[in-house]
Amino acid sequence: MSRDPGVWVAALLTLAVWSYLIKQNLVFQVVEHVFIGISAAHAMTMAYFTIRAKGVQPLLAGDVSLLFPLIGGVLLYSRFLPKTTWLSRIPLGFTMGTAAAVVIRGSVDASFVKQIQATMLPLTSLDNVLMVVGTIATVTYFLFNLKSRSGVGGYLARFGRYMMMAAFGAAYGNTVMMRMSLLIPRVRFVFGDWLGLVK
Amino acid sequence: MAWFERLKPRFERFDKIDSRYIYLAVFLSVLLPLFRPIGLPITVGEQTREAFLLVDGLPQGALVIMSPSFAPSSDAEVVPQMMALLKHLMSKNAKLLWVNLTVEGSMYATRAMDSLKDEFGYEYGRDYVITPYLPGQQTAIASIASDIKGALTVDVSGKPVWDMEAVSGVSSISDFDLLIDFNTGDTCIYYLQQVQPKGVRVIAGASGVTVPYLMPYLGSGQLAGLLGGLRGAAEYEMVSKTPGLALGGMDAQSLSHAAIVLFIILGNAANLAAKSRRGRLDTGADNGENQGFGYENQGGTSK
Amino acid sequence: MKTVLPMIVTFVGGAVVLLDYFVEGSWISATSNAFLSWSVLLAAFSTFLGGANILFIHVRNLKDRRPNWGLSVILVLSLVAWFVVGVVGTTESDIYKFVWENVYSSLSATMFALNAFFIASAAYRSFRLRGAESAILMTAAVLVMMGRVGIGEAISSRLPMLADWLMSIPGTAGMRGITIGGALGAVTVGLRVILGLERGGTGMSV
Repeated sequence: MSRDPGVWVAALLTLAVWSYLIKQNLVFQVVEHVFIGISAAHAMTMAYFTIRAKGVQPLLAGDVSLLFPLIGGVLLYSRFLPKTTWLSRIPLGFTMGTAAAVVIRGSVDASFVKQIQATMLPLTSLDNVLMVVGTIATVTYFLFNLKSRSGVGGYLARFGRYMMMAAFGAAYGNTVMMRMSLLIPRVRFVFGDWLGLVK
Repeated sequence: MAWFERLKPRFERFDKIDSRYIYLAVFLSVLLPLFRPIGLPITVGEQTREAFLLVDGLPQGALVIMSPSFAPSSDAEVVPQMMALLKHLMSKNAKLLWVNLTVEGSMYATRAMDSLKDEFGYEYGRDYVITPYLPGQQTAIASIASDIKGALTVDVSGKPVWDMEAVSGVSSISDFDLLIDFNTGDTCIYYLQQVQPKGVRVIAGASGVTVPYLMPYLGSGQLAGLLGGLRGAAEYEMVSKTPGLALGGMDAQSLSHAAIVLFIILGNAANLAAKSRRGRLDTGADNGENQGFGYENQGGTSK
Repeated sequence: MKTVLPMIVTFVGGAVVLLDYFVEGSWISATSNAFLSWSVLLAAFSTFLGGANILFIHVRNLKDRRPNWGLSVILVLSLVAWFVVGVVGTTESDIYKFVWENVYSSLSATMFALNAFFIASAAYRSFRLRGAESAILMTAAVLVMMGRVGIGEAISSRLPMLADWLMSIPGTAGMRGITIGGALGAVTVGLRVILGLERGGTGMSV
C-alpha cells in the first residue's frame, strides 16, 4: 500500500466519485462541487496570467494599442448590469468577426478544396470507386437533402445515408474505445499505485 | 428460431436488469486482466508506422512544436502517446517548443519534460521552451500561424521566448520541421487549416473519439501521421521499442470491448424477447423512417 | 448606436482578417495580426468571465439560501482558495502542483471515466437493431471495437484489416462528405456574421 499522501488523496477521491455508481449520495456531491470550484479557479488563474503577460505588462512597457482589447475585455463584464449590457456586444462582435474570418480562411482550402481534390481518384479499384461514390452520395444526402426524392438522386442520397451510418458506427466504436481507455488507468491507479495489488 | 424460443424466458429477465450489474461486469472486465495479463497480440498499423517513420526521418536537432490540447478528463489516451513520441524526439535531440492551447497544457508539458529531461540530458532554454496558456483555440492558432513571434512573446516564467537558444533561429512558423498536436477536440483540424498550408508537417496524437474526424485529412495527405487512442500509443511504444503504460492496458481494453459487444447482443435479445411477449413487433416510434438508434429505456443508475 | 456600433466593429474585425488572406500588404497583415492578438486577449477575459460567472451563481445561491446552498459554500471556498493560491504562489508552486496532480487531475479523469459505465449501460438498453441503417451502424461499431484490440486479432487476423478498411474507406467517405458540407456551412455562417446578418451570438435579435 502506498505511503504517498498525494496517492491517498487521489485514491479516496476516486472512490468517492465511484460511489455514484451505487447510488447518488452526499459524498459524491461534495466532491463534485470541489471539482467544479477547482476547475473554475484553475481556468481563472490561467486567464489572469495570460491577461497580465499579454496585455497589462506590454501596455506598461509602452504598447498603447493594447488599451483597445483591455478596455474591450472589461466591457465584457458590463453584461452583468442591465443598463450597460449593450456595451458587451462590442468586444463580443469583434471576437465573432475575427473568428468568422479565421474560420472562412481555414475552411475554404483545407476542408473544402483539398477534400474535393482528394476525392478525385482514378476509378481503377473498388476502394477508389467506393470512396468517390460514397463521398458524392454523402454530400448529396447531407447537403442537397434529396432523401425524399425518387430516381438516381434518391438512391444516391440513400447510399450516402448508409455511408454516414458506417462513419458514425466507426465513430461509436472509437468512442467506446476512448471511454474504456479512461477507466483502465483509474482502476490501475487504485489497485496498483494505491493498494499495490497490481503491477 | 427454436433455440431463441427456448431461451426467451431467460432473455426476458435481462430486459429489466439493474444497471449496477452492468457496471460491475464492466469493472471486472477491466480489473481482471490487470491482475492476470492475457498477452493478446497487437500488430503495428500503417498509420502509426507512417508517424514513426516521419519522426525517425527528422534530422538531429530538428525544430518541433508540441501542442498538448487536452484535459485530464481525456489524458489517459493521449499522455501515453505524448510520452512515446517525446522519448523518440528527445533521442533525436529535437528542439521543442511547447504551445499550450488549453488551461492544463503547460502543466502537462512541465510534467512530461521533468520526467524525461535528466534521462536525455535536456536543459530548459537550450533544448526546450514551454509557453503559457494561449486562449482562443482557432484564433490563437491563426495568430501563431501568421506571426508566431508576436503571438508567443514570453514563456511560463515570463522570460522572452525568442532569446532562448532552442528557438533562437526562428523567424516564422515555416521554420519548424514538425508540429505534433495531442488533442481530443478540433485543435488538430484548426492546425491543418491554419498552419499546415504554411508548409509545416502535422502529426496528430488523437483520442479515439477524434480519429474518424481526422481520417479525411489523413487520406488527403494533409495530415502526415495519426496515432489513434490508446491503441495508437501501444503501437508506437512497440515500434519505437519503448514499452509503457499503453501496452499494459491493451488486454483490459480487449476484454472491456468484448463485454460491450456482449451487452449489445444481450440487450437486443432481451428486448426482442420482451417485445414478442408483449405481443407486438418493434417497428419503431417513427414508422421506420428513422432507422438509427432506438431510445426506449434510458440507462443510468436507476433500475 | 447600440446596434450599429457592434455591427461595425464585427465587420471591421472580420473584413481586415479576411482581406489578409487574399491581399499581400504590409499594413493589412500587421493590422490583421494585431486583431488576432487582441482576440486572444479577449478570449482570456472570456475564460475569466466563465469562472467568475460560476462564482456569482453560487454566491447568489448562498445569499438566497436556495436548496443545497451548503454545497455552494464548498464550491465557493474551493474556488476562491485555489485562485488565491494560484495567483499568489503561481502555478509552479509545490502546493499548486500537488492539488492539480492529486485532486484536479484525478477528479477530472475519474468523473469522465464514469462514462465507461454509462456507455455500457446505454449500449445494453438503447442500441437496437431496427433496419438496414441501424444494422450498418451496429456492424461498423462492432467491427471497429473488436478489430482495434488484441482480442479481435486473436479471433481472426482479418478482423483488424477489416476494421482498418472500414475506417479508411467507407468511414472516411462518409466523414469527408460531412466535412465538405460542414465547410460550406461554416463559410456561409462566417460571411453572414461578418456582414451583420447573423447577430444572435452578440445577444442582439436578428
